[in-house]
Amino acid sequence: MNMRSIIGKELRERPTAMIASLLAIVLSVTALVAIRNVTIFSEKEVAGKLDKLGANVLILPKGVTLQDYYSADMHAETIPEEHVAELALSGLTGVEAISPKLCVPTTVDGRKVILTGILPQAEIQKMASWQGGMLFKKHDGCKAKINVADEKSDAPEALAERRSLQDLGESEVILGADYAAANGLKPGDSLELLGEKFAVLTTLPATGTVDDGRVFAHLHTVQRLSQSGEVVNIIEVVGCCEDVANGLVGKLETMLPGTKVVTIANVVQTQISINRMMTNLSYLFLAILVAVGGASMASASFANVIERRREIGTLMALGATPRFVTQLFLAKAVLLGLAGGLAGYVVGSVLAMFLGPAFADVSVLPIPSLALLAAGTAILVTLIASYFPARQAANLDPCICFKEV
Amino acid sequence: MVMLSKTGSFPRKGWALLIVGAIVVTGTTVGTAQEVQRVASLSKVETSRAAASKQNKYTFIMFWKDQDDATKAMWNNLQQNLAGKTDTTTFVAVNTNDPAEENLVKEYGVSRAPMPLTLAIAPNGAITGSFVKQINADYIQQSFVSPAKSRCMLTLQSRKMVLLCVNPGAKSGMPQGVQNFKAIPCYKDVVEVVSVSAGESEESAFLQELEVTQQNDQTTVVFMAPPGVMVGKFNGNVTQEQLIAELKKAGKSCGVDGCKHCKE
Repeated sequence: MNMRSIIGKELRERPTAMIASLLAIVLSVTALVAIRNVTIFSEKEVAGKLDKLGANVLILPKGVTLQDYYSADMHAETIPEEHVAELALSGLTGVEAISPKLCVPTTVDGRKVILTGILPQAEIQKMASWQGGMLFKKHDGCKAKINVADEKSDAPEALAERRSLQDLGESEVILGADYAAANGLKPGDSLELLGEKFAVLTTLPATGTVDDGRVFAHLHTVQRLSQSGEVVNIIEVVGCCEDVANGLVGKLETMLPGTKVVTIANVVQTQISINRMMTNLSYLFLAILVAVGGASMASASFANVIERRREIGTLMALGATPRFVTQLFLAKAVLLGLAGGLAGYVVGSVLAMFLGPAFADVSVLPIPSLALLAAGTAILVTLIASYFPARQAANLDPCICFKEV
Repeated sequence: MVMLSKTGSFPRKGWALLIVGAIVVTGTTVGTAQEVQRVASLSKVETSRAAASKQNKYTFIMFWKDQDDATKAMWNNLQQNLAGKTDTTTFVAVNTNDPAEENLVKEYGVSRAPMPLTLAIAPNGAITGSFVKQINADYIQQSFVSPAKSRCMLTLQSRKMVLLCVNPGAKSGMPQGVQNFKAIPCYKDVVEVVSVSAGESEESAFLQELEVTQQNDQTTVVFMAPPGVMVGKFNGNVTQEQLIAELKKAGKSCGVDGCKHCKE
């Protein structure tokens, strides 16, 4: 009889004890895997959303309360447009793109529409390269965005993704997907807005936001037609992430005292809080895994040692060393840990695929690397839990065992 | 026969010469007329800037809207600091509401900028300094840049990349990696190679700013991208692959793909 056959026989003969030990491990690992899975996908979702938003700092009039990123410019308060040039000329490290907007509600053929004035980047970016003393400085950690003349990123469709546009004529408009579809408009068509004729430059791809129902025109044209003056409702800033975290917001607030500077982190704070809570929960379940699974395993192992005193004594009388007996119990623990970890990974992943869309509004897929984490953690816990019972078994005296018989 | 043929060819050549001459004269006349028309259409300040450029002078243009204290103070500062430098600079004031200067205001896109605003323009057209609401002697001094720096700035302001080759001697050639990079179809129109000799005294401040040692027996390649990003510094053995890799790395910004223009 070798170690493998002894362990196999033991597991076959006492399935109830094995299942009880296994169940505690499986449940704990299931909870751990499910929560980690949902958290990881939720974090990815937030990161993806942030990427799509483009701008991560919003400069608003002082009295505006921000509730929704996409409708942050939908208010009657304004700030002077000269803040845009002030920002561009300031040479502030970490400011990568500036996009001012002015929203004017109007009607076209009896239909309500939001006419949004935007300023082409070409008119802003050139100012950024006027700072002789500021140029050529290496910006370690987070580099400024490179702005080489480029047909692809200069294309008007880039507005949907980057929320900024390189060039836009004063008599051109860009249509949101819903507005274009509802009015049967396509690039090249013409459109009358506020008594003036515009050529449709392009239509934007659907974004699922209020932008889909908007019409975008040159900021100065919108200002002139709406007689708003040289003002904007909002300035969206793409700030370098590290600089946003390290004082850029404070510098913007100092430079533009009459404004409110809001980071996108504020907007997604709720999602971030949920993620943090989920992460903490997964750590809590990890602690439960250690406590419940470990205690259950230790208790089962101790009981096993007591029940198997005769067999252990016989084995030792036949020449089994204490080292062999210890290895026997630890090998059994490893097997149980591996089986419990993998079973927990499978159940946890399936559970996460149902819980993700239901509770966190994210699609979740199994993460293979979590299988390693689950198996590793479960094996470690079962090994620790079985160590002392194994030592106890190894220290049994065969003579005393036979006396008891 | 020989004589005849020679005499016979004379009128033919004469006509040909006459036609060529006429074409040249017409072309020159049309060219001159167009130039005259262009110059005539220039505003006072545009003419002054063009003249300064021809004389290798810097032009300081102060844009203003209201004659407020800031405007007066800025103009006084310009006068005090530039009046004694008429051989190297000219300075003018432009009211952004003046219809005659509409083109100039549009060219620089300063109609909505905070005023007063002064722009320093190098002889080659590069804007080497911009000053909002206040200016002083130090700011003005910083606007005077070396020829290589003004060339780099003009290139970056045209949304093109710069490969500055700092050569140990005047006769050093362009590094192979730079030549190869410049030859890549999707980069060739958006990159300019600027060569400068490390020993040139007028470039020493610029090279110091770039942290390039002048006592180097090898070429140093400084890679810059618009609006003013330092992509990297390399020695003369740099390869096109290294330049592309650094450019792609520098183009990656926080969540926004910065450099998508070349996908080879």
